[in-house]
Amino acid sequence: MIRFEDVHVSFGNLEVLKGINLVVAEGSKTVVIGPSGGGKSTLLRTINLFEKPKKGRVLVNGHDMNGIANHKLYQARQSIGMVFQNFNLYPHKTVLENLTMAPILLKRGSKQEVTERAMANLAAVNMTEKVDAYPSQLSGGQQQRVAIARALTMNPEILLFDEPTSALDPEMIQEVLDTMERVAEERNITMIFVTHEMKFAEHIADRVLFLDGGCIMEDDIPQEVFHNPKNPRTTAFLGKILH
Amino acid sequence: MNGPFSWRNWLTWFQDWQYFLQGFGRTLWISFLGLFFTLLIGVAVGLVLCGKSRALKRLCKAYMSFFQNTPLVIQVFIYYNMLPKLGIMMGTVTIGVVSLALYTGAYAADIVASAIRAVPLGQMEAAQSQGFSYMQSMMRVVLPQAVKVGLPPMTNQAVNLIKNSSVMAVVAGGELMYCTDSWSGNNLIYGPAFVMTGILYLIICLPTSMLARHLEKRSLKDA
Repeated sequence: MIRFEDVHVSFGNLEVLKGINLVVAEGSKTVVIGPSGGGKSTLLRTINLFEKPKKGRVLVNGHDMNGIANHKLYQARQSIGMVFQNFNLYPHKTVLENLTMAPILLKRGSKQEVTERAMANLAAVNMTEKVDAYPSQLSGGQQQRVAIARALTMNPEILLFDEPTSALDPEMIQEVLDTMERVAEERNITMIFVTHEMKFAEHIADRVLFLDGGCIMEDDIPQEVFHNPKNPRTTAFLGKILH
Repeated sequence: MNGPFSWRNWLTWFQDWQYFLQGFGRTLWISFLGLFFTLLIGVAVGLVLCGKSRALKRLCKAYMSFFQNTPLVIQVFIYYNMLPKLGIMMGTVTIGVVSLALYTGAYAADIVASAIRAVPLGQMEAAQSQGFSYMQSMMRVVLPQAVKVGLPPMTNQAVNLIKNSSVMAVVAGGELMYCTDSWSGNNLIYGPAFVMTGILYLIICLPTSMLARHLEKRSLKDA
């Protein structure tokens, strides 16, 4: 479970998150939508403490991420996978090495066990045939699918998707959305998606947050947020995005 | 043929070639050790420059400013003449290695820092998001990529270091340039000695700088 308690995050004088209170249930699929600069990515990045709250706290499975010792933070991050906008695969490693390096070195299973897990995850994202390729030999969509498999190979309890399709060419977006959808359906992992793909959000989420100006403006099931928004800013935002 | 390049002068040089070989060997040894410690200093200082500690950064910048902006020959002179007065005694090889490593290390640190900064920030974040510490992320993910960027300019520094080892001649370092100097002074034969010494430096430096060019081309191709 992830719990935000009055979380404020600032970059210099700019307050990006203004007192977020939020509970994300275990195994749930939450989608965060909202205009650029609204604090969506920052919200995601506070969960693994890539951004430190100036005030308030983020509790992951009961542990205050800001208050724990460094080695405990590193350990906690092993259970919090992250998929980035720009994939961030390790270019000097093959696809398989990208998947196995961290779990082997951080001892999340024996080499054989991790390799088997990696191969199963590559199969799940339809990338088995590229096991020995380097990231530079893959298309953007393929790289993102490998990045998803890499995050899964850590056996995470929480998976964060930070605009995973924003850097992709239009024809590659669908393959990544399909992959994410399949993973979301098949795995009992708490997932939070920051995305501009509204159809995907409506289809996959059991909860949608609309974030604007550093505040959660709307928090409801997708049907309500998309078809019966309560906040005029949500209506205005959806109007711009959907039409 | 008469003058500084007479046959007699060349013959005398070839009779004493082993003396030069000894100096050549010492130049190689000092350069090898100097390069090893240069890399250690370069990586350590480069990492600090990319780190968060302001105090350490200032200290490293002060070190770099001092060593980059004073002539190497003065630094060698200080180690040789002044440190013994403070009770610090070093042999000439040690002086050579220390002076070359500190001097070239100040440049190497800049190269390492630039190479680390050239690796996209997302790489460090990806590694840290998997649970690697800052240092593990550096060693496993960032530095292996930075090596590709930093290797060509670092190889150029290696060439500079080898040539700069000739400064040891001012403190009787026993390396190639010192051998050339003392042999020429003793025999009053300068031409063949300096030409052959130049050729010997070329034998080490030319392949090294060709390697630098090759690495540079390869890294541009991979980019």
